[in-house]
Amino acid sequence: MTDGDPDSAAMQRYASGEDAAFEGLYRKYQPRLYRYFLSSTGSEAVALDLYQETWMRVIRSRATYTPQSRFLTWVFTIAKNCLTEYYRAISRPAHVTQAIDIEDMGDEQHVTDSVLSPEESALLVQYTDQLYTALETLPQVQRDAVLFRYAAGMTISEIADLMNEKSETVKSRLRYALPKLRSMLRESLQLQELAGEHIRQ
Amino acid sequence: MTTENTPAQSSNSNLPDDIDASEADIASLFANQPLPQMKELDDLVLARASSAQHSFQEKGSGKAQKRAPDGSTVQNDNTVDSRQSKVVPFRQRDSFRHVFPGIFAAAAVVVLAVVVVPLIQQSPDGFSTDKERDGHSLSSDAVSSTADKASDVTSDLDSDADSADFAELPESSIRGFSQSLGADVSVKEAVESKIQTDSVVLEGTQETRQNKATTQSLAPTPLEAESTALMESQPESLEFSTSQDQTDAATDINAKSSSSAARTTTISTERSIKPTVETGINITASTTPVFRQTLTMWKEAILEMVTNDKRDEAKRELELLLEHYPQEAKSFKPFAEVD
Repeated sequence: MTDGDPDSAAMQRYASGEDAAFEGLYRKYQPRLYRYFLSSTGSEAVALDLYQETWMRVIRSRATYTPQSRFLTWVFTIAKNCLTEYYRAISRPAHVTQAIDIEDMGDEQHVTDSVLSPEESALLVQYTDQLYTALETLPQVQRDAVLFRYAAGMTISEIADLMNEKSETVKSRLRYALPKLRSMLRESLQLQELAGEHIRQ
Repeated sequence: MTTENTPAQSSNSNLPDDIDASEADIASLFANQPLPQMKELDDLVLARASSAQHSFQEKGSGKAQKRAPDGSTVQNDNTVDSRQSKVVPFRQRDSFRHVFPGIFAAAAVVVLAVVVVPLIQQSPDGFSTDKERDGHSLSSDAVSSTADKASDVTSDLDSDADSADFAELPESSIRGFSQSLGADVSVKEAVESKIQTDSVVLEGTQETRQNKATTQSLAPTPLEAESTALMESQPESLEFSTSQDQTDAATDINAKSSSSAARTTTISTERSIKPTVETGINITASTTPVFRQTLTMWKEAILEMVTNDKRDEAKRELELLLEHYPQEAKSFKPFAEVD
């Protein structure tokens, strides 16, 4: 099942004592995991906590890791469990009350693909916040599919593998979710388009 | 689920496995989410990964496995090779670790058998074996033997007091004797009270104190001698109207005794605890010499007088003795015995 999965091989090497193999995996999955948690919780602090907890579990589970599935599926299964435990602990999704504070965003130095002005960063945070609100309106299964697809960057087959569903089912969920998101994020998409044009200039 | 599959079923195939241009706008929303500066967190996670890996190898916990390309696991012998013969090979350490629980279990069984079981089987008397119990019985016998001796001594003293002799005296003769001495009460009562007082001393409430008092009473103590001397020398001060007065006087006498202070205190206290002279009985004890208090003492005093060539005095005492003990003293021939 995992033949040809370089990430599984890297995890095996790490389990055998090769530290560099783990660092490669960490760098590769760092943004995907973080954005998955950030999009799911809407809180940067919570996202960082869950992100760290996920990696700690990966480290602790290295000896029992068996490449029965892709590494991506395995690590996001751990991430999903962390998120579920978090929701269970607070009994409701965090991003309802813990949206990212614009002022906090301004205090910290963030690494992005481009350099934005403070105003642009504020706009970006604004429509990102709208994204959380839009995700909140989606049914759980559609929201999960969207998060795995766009925040974690998974393929349809990977999502199907992770959610133990058929690929067609995942596609269907995404097809229903995307129009809703677009209608709710029209303003954010327009802002993003404007920001992109500004960056390109 | 039904709503998901029916209307969009035909368009599902349009969504590729990877994200395509139709999803680019939404995907870019997620991709543009800013990443915070996570250098510290990165360092923390990577350091944890490295340290966990190294401690894992140091421990040789048996989990370090090398996976074959086919997914099967093979034993990682790196820990053995890197340490050569300096450490126990991994497999041997693993086997040795399995031996430890057995050793501890065997030691625990031995401890249970040697220490705990005898303690559990120990009888309520505190001895686990008959031998120990017998050994303890010996010491108990010794103690009881000592107590018996003390009891015997007490009995001897009681018999020495000749209370039976006085009890057998006719009341009339005793009263006549006491009247001749000027006493307000019968000598019999006085003598009996004296005997009872001595018995109180000898029958102390506690066994150890009883033994001590008995030992002290076996031989005339300086206290007794001094008390007697005081009684003879200060007759007026020793008139008792109540038992409390007697107690106080006895305490006073004992206080005046400079020698054997400790023994004096012991005896005086015990006498004070159980005064035997009842309230209202006025005893003029000073008029009755001590040697006349018992028949034996009286006889010995007469014999001593004869021996010391105080025959006239001895004769008077003998007449008095015969007057008060006509039956008992009838066969007493002090002059014949001495001669």
